[in-house]
Amino acid sequence: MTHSDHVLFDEPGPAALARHRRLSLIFYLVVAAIAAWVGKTLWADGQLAPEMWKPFLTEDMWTTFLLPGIRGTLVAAAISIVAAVTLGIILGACRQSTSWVIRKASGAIVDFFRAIPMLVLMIFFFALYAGQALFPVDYLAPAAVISGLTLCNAAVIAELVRSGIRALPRGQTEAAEALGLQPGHTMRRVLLPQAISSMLPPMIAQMVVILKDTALGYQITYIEVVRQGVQAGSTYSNYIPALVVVAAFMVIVNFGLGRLAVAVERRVRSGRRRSVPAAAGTKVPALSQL
Amino acid sequence: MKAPAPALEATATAAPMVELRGIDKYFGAVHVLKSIDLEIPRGQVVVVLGPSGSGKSTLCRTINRLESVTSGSVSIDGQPLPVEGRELSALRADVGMVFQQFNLFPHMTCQDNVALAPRKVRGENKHLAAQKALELLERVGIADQAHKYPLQLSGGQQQRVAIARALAMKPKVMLFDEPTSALDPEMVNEVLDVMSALARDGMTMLVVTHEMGFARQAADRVIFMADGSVVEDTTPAAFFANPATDRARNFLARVLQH
Amino acid sequence: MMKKVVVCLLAGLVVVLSAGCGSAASGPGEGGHLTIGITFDRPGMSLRNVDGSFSGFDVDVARYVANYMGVPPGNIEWKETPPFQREVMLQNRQVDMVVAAYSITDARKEKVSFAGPYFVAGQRLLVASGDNSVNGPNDLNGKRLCAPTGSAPAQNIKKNYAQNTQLQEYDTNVACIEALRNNAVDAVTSDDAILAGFAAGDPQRLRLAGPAFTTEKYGIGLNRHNDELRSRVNDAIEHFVADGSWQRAFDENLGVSGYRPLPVQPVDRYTTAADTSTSSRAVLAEYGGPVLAAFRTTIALTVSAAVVAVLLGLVLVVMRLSPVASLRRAGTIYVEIVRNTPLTLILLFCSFGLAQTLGLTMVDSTSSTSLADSAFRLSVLGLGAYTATFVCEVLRAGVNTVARGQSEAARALGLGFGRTLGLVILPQALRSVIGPLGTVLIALTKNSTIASIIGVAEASLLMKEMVENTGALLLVGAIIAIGFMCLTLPTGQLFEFLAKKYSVKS
Repeated sequence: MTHSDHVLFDEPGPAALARHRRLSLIFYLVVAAIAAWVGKTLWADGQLAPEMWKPFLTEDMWTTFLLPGIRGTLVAAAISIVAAVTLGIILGACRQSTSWVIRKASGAIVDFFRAIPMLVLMIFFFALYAGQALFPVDYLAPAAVISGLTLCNAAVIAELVRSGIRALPRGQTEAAEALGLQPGHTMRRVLLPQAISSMLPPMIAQMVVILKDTALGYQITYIEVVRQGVQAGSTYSNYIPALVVVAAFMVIVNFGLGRLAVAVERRVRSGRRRSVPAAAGTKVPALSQL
Repeated sequence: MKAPAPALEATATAAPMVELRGIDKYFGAVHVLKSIDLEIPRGQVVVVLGPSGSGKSTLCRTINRLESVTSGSVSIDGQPLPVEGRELSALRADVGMVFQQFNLFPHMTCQDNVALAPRKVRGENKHLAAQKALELLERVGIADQAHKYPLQLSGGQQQRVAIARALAMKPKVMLFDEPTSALDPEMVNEVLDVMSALARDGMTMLVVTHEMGFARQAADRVIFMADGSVVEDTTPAAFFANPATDRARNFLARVLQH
Repeated sequence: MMKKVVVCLLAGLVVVLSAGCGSAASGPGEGGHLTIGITFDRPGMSLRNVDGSFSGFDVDVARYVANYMGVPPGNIEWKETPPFQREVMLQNRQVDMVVAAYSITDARKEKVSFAGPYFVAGQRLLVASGDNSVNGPNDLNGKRLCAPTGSAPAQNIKKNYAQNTQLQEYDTNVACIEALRNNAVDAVTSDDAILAGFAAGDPQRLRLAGPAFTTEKYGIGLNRHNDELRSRVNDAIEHFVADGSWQRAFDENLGVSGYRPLPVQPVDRYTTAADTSTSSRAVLAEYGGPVLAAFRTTIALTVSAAVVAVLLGLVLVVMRLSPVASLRRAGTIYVEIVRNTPLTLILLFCSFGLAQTLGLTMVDSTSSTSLADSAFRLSVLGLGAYTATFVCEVLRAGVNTVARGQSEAARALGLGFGRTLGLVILPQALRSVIGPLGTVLIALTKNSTIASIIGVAEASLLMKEMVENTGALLLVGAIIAIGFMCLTLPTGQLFEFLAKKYSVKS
């Protein structure tokens, strides 16, 4: 056990270790029993048969179903990430503006988009774009998906940026004022860069959220990977394996992003000699991943 | 200046209060404590000095098993230190500890902080415990802060509450892990005064510190550690006037510049 | 530095956007391009083969009509229009026409228009081979029926034959067939032409039950406002029948199953009725009740899932903080996997995996609301299991933020593990997690909308229906948005208040 494990309890002595070993054994047995039952049921249903999994070795499965889905997911996510980060930074900075009007307006915008579900936004935009013919028909669904993703996540990122700015020592603003910088300049050149770099880890975590939420496009005809997985399952009659493959893809990509966030956090931390008050910042990461 | 305690002479009629035999400790591959042998007789005040990384904090923490040892034995008042469980908790009740970061419980008032352990560990009556807590806070000089919450107090006041909290369990020995290192200079003395008073009252104390003044005036014995070993073990007078080793000499030269 | 980053981001945006640009779709038949909506999973009628090509009777009809209008087969873009999206896609002009065993009904004529009919089918039932209890629509009282979402046959049965049938709707025919095979439903209803194809493929387990009990006329769906196109398509259909192509297409695609079609009827060149607009008052009057009911479901989903999430989250955090390494590892694995999976996928797993494959339906299958209950309970389970990971992480962060010196001080005083936890750690940890837990609850409220994917009648599902039926987008959007704000904003305020009230005094 490493040092950091001892938050709650002492390092276990021999009696405790023996008890832990017994507990582990019981736990493993229970897990094994459940796994065996699941495996048996799946086998009886034919879900584990090789024919169910062979289609994944064929080219058609990938070119017709999965790759277009993956492309849809990644494209929507990429565009939304760029747009949400940009819009979020602007909104977050506006929330700390010296002008009362800008502060209240941006505050209302952020609160609104954090209060309503993303799916509702997507449905709304889909109908709006279609009804007003704002996009060519092929782009209706992606536009609606991206609009929904962007607005909701921009609001979250705005909150991250805002808490990042507020966590900065007052001395930064005061020093900038003493130098004669205008408030706009202070924000853009002094506060924002620092706030963003300290909020980079939760922002990267937010990208995981964006990637996951592209799956909501399923319900407004957008071609993304979950829908394509269900399609594939429907065509080859192998729903469970198809869903498993799609899940594996999402888990791997998201897990990679999560690791990236952790690595960036470590670099940001080590780059600081004085620890920025972490309390305001570290509580947020857990929330922003929802 | 305190008279040299009789315990420095060879014979001890009772078992030493704290006895460490052959203590070895590894953090991963790093050998942090190297075969330490130490006996602290009853009533002795020991100050442990040394550069950072010398293992002095770790040594202090092995005495109540906040750090485990890779090999060796620890005894408190003749009883070997249990490794786990209820027995360990029971023995810990007899060893008081004061931390560098105070570690007061911020969700309770100062009085409740002091009364907590007697009530929950020794089962004392609520009112009695509260009263005794008040007396202890009086003893360390902050009875008027009894109903305040720890974060409302200054650092020096918090540390004094922490000392009172440790004393509430009527410990046989008190451990101090750099008790004043986190304090602003003007608050250091109020804490050291309390500690000196404790020493005068005959408490067995092991103090890890950088406060040389305290070492000179209140301690019976100075232990100098470097790289996990005890390099010097002598009286304060002898140590400060004429350190035996080069390590100690260099250390003193750097520290006493202040 | 910031400037460079912004420029890079914008450049990336431009690149990505332009990557997807093709030529804008030209009008139907003009410039020789058509977008035709079909279904992809009906063997014999319209099927996407695994190599991406298309075959079936409907596909042949579509190709003929396109060719008649001067559009070669290579210029046809095929899109999937599952039953629940046909009207929307025609209204949005995402497709020019729909050729998908699309039954002509008066209700649908209010949203789209039809050319044809080009085929007459009948509605029938598909049951398990050994099941002799169902031989006609009247036998369906108290039974569980499956049909594709939005298809006409299901509504027909409920209205005219068996009011006590429970209806399960899935996006595709295949999903219904799977459900039938797994005994999750007792019968599947659809057009006999479609069902014949499936029965032929699995004669040991499936059989067609009873005679056809309705007449379904298949038409080609078109946007409501294009009479000229409709006239030309009607011409094409008449030619299709007259020159023998119809018979040829039938023999090639459906003849082999031994299925005998009903005789073709002449095309119906009706005049489109005027658009009916819906006033705000009408919308509110008609949907006031359903909106409240839908939000009640949302609240029920949220509260139930919250309970599951907190209980499971507590178990997980105990595992992740325990001294037993295997428990720690298991907790971490669960959290990492579930947290990184889209909730949509988790709910699909619950429905397909748990309910159908493993048979864990959690309901009394003889109850008359078993299907609705099943969808609801599976959603609660899925939402709860997903949200539990976030509850666990919030609690874990709360415990870890309590300085470890607190635990050491408590232990140094002689307090055992239980007392340390109960008197020192938890009181501090719980005070600091109130705020974050409030955010988790709000997110759960919003995530409840995802349950619509397995048919739970909550607010977002109702929103889709309202938008389609009334077209009063802003009003509908406002109603739903206000509904959710009424749930989330007070919750946020409440938790902020509680967090402040119970914070540690300094």
